[in-house]
Amino acid sequence: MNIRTIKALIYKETKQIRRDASSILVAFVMPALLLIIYGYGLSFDIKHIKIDLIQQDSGKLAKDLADAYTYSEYFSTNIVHSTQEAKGNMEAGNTMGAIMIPENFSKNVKKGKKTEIQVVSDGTDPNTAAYIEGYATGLFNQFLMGHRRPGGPSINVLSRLWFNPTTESINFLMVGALAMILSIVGTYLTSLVVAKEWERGTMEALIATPTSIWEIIISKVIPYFVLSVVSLAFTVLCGVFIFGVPFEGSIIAMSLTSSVFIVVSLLIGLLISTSAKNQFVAAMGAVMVTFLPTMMLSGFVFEMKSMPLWIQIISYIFPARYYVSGMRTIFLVGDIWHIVLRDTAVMAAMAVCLLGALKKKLRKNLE
Amino acid sequence: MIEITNLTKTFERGKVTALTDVSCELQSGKLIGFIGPDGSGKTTLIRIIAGILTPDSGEIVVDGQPLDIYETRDKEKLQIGDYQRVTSYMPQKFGLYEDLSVIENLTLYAQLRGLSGDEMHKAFEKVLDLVKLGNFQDRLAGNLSGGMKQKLGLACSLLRKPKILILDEPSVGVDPISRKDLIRMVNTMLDNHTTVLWSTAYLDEAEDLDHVVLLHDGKVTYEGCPHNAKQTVNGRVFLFGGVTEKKRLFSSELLRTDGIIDSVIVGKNIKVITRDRSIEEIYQEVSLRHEDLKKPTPLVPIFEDACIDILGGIQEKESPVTEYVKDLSFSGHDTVVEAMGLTKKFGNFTAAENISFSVKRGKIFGLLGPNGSGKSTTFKMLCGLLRQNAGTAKIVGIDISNMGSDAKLNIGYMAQKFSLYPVLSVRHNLEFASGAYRLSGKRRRDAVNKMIEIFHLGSLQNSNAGSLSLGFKQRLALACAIIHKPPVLFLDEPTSGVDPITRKEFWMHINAMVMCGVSTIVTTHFMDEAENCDEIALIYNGKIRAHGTPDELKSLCKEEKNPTLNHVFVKIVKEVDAAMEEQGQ
Repeated sequence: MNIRTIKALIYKETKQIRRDASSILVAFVMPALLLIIYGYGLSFDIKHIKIDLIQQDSGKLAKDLADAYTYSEYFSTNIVHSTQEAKGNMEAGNTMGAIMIPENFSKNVKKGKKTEIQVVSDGTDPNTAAYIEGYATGLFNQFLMGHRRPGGPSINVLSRLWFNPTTESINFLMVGALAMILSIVGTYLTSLVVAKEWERGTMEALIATPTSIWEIIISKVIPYFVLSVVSLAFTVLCGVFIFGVPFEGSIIAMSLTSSVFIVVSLLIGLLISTSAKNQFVAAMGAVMVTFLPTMMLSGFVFEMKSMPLWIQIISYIFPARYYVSGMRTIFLVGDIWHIVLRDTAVMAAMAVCLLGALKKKLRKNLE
Repeated sequence: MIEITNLTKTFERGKVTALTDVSCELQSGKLIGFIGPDGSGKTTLIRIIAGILTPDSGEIVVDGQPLDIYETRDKEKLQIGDYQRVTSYMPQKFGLYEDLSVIENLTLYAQLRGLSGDEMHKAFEKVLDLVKLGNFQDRLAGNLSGGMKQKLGLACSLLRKPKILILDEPSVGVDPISRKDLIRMVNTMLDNHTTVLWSTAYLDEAEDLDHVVLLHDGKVTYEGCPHNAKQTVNGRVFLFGGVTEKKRLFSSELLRTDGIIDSVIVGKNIKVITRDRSIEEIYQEVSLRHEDLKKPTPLVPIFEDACIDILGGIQEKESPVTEYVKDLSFSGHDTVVEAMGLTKKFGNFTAAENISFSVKRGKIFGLLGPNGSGKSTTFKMLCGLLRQNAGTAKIVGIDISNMGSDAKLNIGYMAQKFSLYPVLSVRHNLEFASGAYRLSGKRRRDAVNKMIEIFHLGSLQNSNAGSLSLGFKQRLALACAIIHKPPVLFLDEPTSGVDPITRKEFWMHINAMVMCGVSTIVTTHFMDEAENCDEIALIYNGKIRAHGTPDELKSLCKEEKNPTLNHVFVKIVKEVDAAMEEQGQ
């Protein structure tokens, strides 16, 4: 391997990256866009859900409870007096659910009797329905705690979500966004760039020079590795300082996991480009192998535990699954080394396998 | 010396054969051509010689040392890596990085060849001087013209003087002047130690080469000096002069005459190649029917004549298309196509400016020009594929701007690139084309069967169109364009990359249709083909620079003894360029 050859090729690649608007777009504009969408637009925390309050009790405690719902940021309430009316509103799509405070509610609470409220939610949107149920019962329990019969032991139940105390979506979407950006830069961009060289005939010219195939590979890997790292740093800095995403772990842990993931992504990109010699096929390949699995099967948008077992098993083939898991730990919990190292080790093993496959598939040849 | 023995190469697990038992001997210090139509195997052969493709079997010996083409790492053999140190290869499309500047491309290739510092800068000076790109060092390669790209590609491969310079179709998409330049530059490189391999589909380029290997369907059909090849047809090429009227009819009559293997229209003359029969005998026979026919004059053969002879001459002597279109009915218009002041702008760039001409019924009109001259733009405006910024165009009297789909039935169009459905069978493609042109029921079935019969597609009718050889693809494309018997036929570069026999047969079909009254507009960069046209417009830099019959145009070039359209073309392009330069200064 000749250092001067590699230097010449890397210099060329860097020039091309800098002149190509699409690489800048993918490495910087896309992360910014994703962060903005996740930070402001897309949010899995639902607030101000429209519901009806069916007030069948006019006692003071019933009013207090109604107020608790009304002033809660989760709901925007409308008081009705019959189940019929609530049903009508729900059918018309005006509300997503209803909470019924039954007759004798105040009396029962005062007496310390078992009291219940009824929560009805629109099952056509299971996500929101689950939120309504959760928020409504949570508030109700808090309310009950505050109105225990005097004399009894004061128990303070605090419902707490660990590791993402404010349950901000951006905090856990951030890691998914990183995985997505790195797969796009690593796999998508790389396979596209190599395919472009095949299409334009420059690869043919290159392999007819004394340059060895490993020199060509290394000179592709290094610039795109650097681009990936810069894009990663940019995204993390924006996430932490602009969107206030917590960063509990260490930079070392993050760098380690991310480097291995970037290498895996690059190798996948190069492997795709050994068989896909035009940009269209390369793009499709990259989307199928990295982008979609990262989106669907990394646990970044959809919770893996709720998927059928066989899909869960399939998800373990994709590196993004491990990266999201490791990075989420680093961001939200801290350096839990056994998790971080386990995930990194799996990805490293993948890298070794990919390198073996690449070595087998690659020949300095047109076929 | 490079000795190639029994090279065989197949693709797709043996399904497609690219080369069969190719053997040839290439002397050092010579300019050697691999010549053949597209798909003949020349690129495969060139790539194997460049060491970037492994053959199935066969051997290459370079200067007495066998080349390790199978990468067995046999120490006795010349390793590919070492071999590539002394060779330079310029692929099709020149292998340039379009987003790098001229000097950046040169620097990259210099460093990959181990040049640096002073040595590198000296090499730059030398090649930039040779290709005259010194003033364009900082321009991005993507912004260079075709000719300049080609020169830069050549410069990149000459940075370190190679022992073997391999050029794959260096002249594709390049104007004739740049082509001549390139051959001149390559010739200056030649000496006892440097061999240049040059592949091309243009037979006329062979005239300037020392040695040619003629490939056809993956086999060598001729190997030797082009001059020697021409000797074999010497005294067998003649010109029948002064055939003004019905030249097409006469040409096809000659072709049917015993002893004539090729007959082509050259302006108002007809050129023939004879075989196994003396021209006197032929003249006697023909003049029985044409009393005032002048005695044919002998011609100096060109390499293409030799190729036609080598390939066995024109097999099909009469076009069955005649029978198909003879009952064509025409509306009253005598002027079938009319262009008046057509102008097309793309942003600031004027692709075509004030183009005007007209085509009468039963005539062939040729649009000639190098790539990027505006001929395709003009062509597309005429068939309604592109909307003009100014001017009008009429087809059979109907303005194309408000031409309905009914009026489009008057047009048959054959695109430059293969534009049929590659995964549909030949028959299905024809059925689709006939359906698209509103044929149905029995008429449709008859039309499809007739086309299959005329173009000899019977045995291939169930094969996928994509798997056909280029010659058959092109026949199919023509069949699809004429299946609805259009009175106007548009052909965009119909014969590029096709072997000479197929080209001749193609023109025979076109001439047959024209004789039945079909009007044809054709774009081409084959100057000899343009001789078939009744009228030619030479387009360069978006304007018509010359307009007239082939003979009128040739008379513009008085300084040549035997002017060809190529001479005219070169002259006009040079004049325009000189005028532009003057304006610029």
